Amino acid sequence: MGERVTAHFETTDVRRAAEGDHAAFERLYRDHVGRVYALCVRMVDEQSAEDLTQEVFIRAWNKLETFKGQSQFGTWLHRLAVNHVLSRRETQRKREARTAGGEGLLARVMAPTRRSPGHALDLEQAIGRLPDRARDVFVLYDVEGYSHDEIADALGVSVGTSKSQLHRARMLMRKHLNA
Amino acid sequence: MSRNRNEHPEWTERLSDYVAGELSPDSHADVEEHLAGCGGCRLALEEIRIVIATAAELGELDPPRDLWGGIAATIQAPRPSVVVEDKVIEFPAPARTSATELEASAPPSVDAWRVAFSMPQLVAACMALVAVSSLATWAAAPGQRGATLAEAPLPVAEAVVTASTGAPPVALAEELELLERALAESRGALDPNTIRVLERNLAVIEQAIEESRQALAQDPENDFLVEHLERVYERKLSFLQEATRVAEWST
Repeated sequence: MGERVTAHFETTDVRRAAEGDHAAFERLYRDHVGRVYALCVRMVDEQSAEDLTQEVFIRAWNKLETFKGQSQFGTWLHRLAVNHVLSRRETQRKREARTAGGEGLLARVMAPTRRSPGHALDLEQAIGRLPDRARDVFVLYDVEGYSHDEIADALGVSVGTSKSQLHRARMLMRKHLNA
Repeated sequence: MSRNRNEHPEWTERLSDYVAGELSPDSHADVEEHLAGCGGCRLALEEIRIVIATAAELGELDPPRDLWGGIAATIQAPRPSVVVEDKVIEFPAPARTSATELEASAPPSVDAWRVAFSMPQLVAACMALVAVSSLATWAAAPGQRGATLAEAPLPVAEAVVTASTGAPPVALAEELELLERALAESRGALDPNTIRVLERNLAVIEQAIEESRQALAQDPENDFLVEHLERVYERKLSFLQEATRVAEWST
C-alpha cells in the first residue's frame, strides 16, 4: 500500500475518531502504540511506561479535536507523548521533593532494577541507567531525532544545557557499554 | 568496546560538537590535529559514533501486553450524572473532559447521559459509586497494577472528595484505615530509623491533607483544591501501600 493511500486512511481515521468513532481510534492506537511505548519505556521504566502509554492515548482522544492536520498525526501524537512523559516526570520530582525523598526512596528501594533481565539490547539497558536529564536528552536527540532547540524548549533548559547533557549521556553510555 | 583509556577530557568534551559539525573551523581543525596523534581520543570518537549510530537504529517496541483494553474502557465509559431536585450533579467524564469538547463531539451528547433518579435509586447509585471507587483503588494498587490496569479504566477523574468537608470517600477511608492498622501492627518488625522516616513522611502528607481541607472549607467550589486534595489522598494511599509492603518484607 502506498504512503499516500496509508496517509489517506489515517486522515480518515483521525477525523472519524475526532467524531467519536472508537474503532477508528483503535486503528490509530494499533499503528502508533509501538513508537509511543518505546519512547515511554526508554524515558521511564517498563511498568510506568505501560501506564504512561495508556494515558498518552487517552489524552490524544481528549485532544483530537485540537489536531488541525498541519503535521502528520504520528508527529502530533509523539510530541504529545513527549510532553506528557516530561510533565509526569516533573510532577514526580516535585512530589518527591515535597515529601523529603521518602516516597521516592521507598520507590527506588522497591524497584531494584529498571529493566527486566535479558532485555534485547545492551543499549536499551544502558539508557535505563542514565540520570533522568541526560536520558531525556539522549532519547529525544539520538533516538527520536529532535533538535536541541526543540529539546531545550520542551525541557525548559538552554540549548547549551541540552548539548552538554547529550555529551554527558553519550560518555556515560560508552562507560555502561564497556562495563 | 574500549581498548585504550588514554584519552584527554579536554579534547573528548568537544567530540559531540565535532561529530555534529558545530565547532568553529579553527576548533574543528584543532580537534582533527589532536585526533591524528592521539589513539585514545580517536577510540573515544569511534565509540561515540557507535553509540549514536546504534541509538538511531533503535526501533519501536511493542508493550508486553495489549494496552487497548484499559484505553477503550476509559474512553467508552459513559459519564453518569444524577438530578437531585433541580440541581444536576455531574461526575467528571473519563474522556473529553471539558464542556466545550463534550459539546463539540456530537455523539453522545451531555443530555443523553443525564439521568434522573428517584431517592432509592440515588442511594443505590451511591452504593455503586462506592463499589466502583473501591475497584479503582484496588486497580491502582502498585502490587496489582501489572495484572489489572490494562483491562481497567485508569483511576482518573474520580470525584472522590466531599467538597464541603474534604473527607475521602468511604471506600478510600476504609482502605487507608486498614493500611494504617496493618502498618501499626508491623511496627515491631521495623528498624527504628525506618519508623522515623515513615512517620516523618506520613506527617508531611497528613499536614498537606489538613491544609488542603482547610483551604477547601473556605472555597468549596474550587475544583483545583478538590483535585489537589484527591491527589494528596492518593499519595497517602500509595505511601501506606509501599510502607506496609516494606513492613511485610521485614517480618
